Amino acid sequence: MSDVIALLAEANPVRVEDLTPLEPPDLTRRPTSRRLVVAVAVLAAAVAASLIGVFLTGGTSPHRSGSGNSGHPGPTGPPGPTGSSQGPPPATVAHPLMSGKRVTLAEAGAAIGERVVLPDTALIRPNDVGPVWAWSHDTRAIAAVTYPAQRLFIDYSRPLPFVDPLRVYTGWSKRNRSFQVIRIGGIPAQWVRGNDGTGDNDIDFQIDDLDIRVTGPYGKATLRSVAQSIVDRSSPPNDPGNNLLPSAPLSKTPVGIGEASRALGASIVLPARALVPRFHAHAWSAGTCPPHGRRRCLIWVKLPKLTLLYEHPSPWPRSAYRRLAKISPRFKLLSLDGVPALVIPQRRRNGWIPGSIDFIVGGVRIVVSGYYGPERMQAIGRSIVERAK
Amino acid sequence: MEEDFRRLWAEHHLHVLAYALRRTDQRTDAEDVVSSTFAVAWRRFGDKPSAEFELPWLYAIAARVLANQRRSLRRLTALRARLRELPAPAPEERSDLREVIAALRELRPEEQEVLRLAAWEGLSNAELAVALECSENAATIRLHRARKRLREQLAKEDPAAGHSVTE
Repeated sequence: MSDVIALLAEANPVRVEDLTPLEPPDLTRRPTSRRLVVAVAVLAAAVAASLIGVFLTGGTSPHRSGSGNSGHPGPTGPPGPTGSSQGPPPATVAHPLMSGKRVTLAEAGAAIGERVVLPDTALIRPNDVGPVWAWSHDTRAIAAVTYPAQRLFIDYSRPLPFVDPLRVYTGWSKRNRSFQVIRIGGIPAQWVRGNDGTGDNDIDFQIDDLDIRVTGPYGKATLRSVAQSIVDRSSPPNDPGNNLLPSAPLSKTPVGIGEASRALGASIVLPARALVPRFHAHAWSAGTCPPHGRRRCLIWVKLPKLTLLYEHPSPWPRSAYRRLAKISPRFKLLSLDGVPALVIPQRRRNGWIPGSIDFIVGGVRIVVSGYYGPERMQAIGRSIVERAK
Repeated sequence: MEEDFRRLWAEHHLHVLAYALRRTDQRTDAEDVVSSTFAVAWRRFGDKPSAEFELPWLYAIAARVLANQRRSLRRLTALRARLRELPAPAPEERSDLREVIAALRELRPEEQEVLRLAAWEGLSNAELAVALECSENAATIRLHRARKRLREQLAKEDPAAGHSVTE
């Protein structure tokens, strides 16, 4: 150790020996890679089979995790072995979470603080949904939606475990051959080939501030189509908090973020990275893209907690905002470095309705809509204006 | 696996708590980091490296958790306030220790982190590689450069004394 490191070590502000132990955390979600638990899982299954007299055949069965919830810890307890000393059973369609309770889909959405976006594919339809489970504690929450007939289940959890999932997935895939980085409509995802004896594989990805995992006894293409459907159906709805957004339902088409400027016929200017992380930006288009004459192109870009709408050409001149600001006392007109902008603050009515800031730069109307406070929203708007100049 | 996880918790959670406390000023925030780190570790248990690299692996997770925690504006605001304050120096309040902390804060964040991991978490180059998710060679080079930068910074602050800051 060099002298300067030694000096720095002396300045260590926290010594481990001075600390008092903590209680173990709540653990409700099974591990992703089953490489290390395969022997335990097989043994646990064999023990369970011998105890309940059920012969377990290959593949995933709802009975595979044993009987009832006996092996599941309480929602606030440690990952204690309440049923078997061999460790927790692998998650199954019957018991996708190690604890939690049966809920409705709406309750699951409330638990995770986001709409539960269900896939709609040839394999699974929204109507195929079976039991839904949820668990939450403090800021952490998990919802699991099961499809018993298809032996498939989907976890939605918050908070996001990583800021940069691509980097993490890449690191893991380098160290484990069962892991592979893939893309779901441009979003980084991780394909995990399971080997815990359940026959399940999974795909993990992040969208809308949720970590989503699709698990089932299917190959990569099938699970990928399910994940893709979730991504596609996560398309931002027309914002109920901003009555200036296009009110007619528009059929949106996913578009690569790299292709969005060309589609818009103008530059897509995003806010500064310091204000909004961009790790899973994705975009949709509607209208006439590229624009032609008076026919406008609309591009939505979804970022964490934020949706940006770019409309080209702008449907109105900048001077219109002065008139629009008079529509409601809640609406405010402000200047973003000389650019007039209409601000509609977020509000609470049956849940949070996002706020928005609406302005025109370079002939493109931009509406920033999101779940940030007014200062942050204005900073985001200002950063777009600055970057557009 | 569960038994192995319990051992992982028992052996390392205080080290992760110390890691978090060195990078935050709120005990509750640090405890959140520990909790989240082990929750992620549990979920990713199959990816756990061999025992000798478990702790740096946990540090790598904790770094992500900390970064995640800092995402919100509220956290960022608080963080800025924290960054203006020095981590509490050693009890002696020695000026040379204060100087080295002050010099550390002048470095780039990635340089600060590699130095903290080496000096405060006591990681070897191989362990640094795991914690920083890079090759051992890259970790060695990063540490070497950061150390050099720290020396230069100390010398800049006290040209006469080099890194050994005088009172």
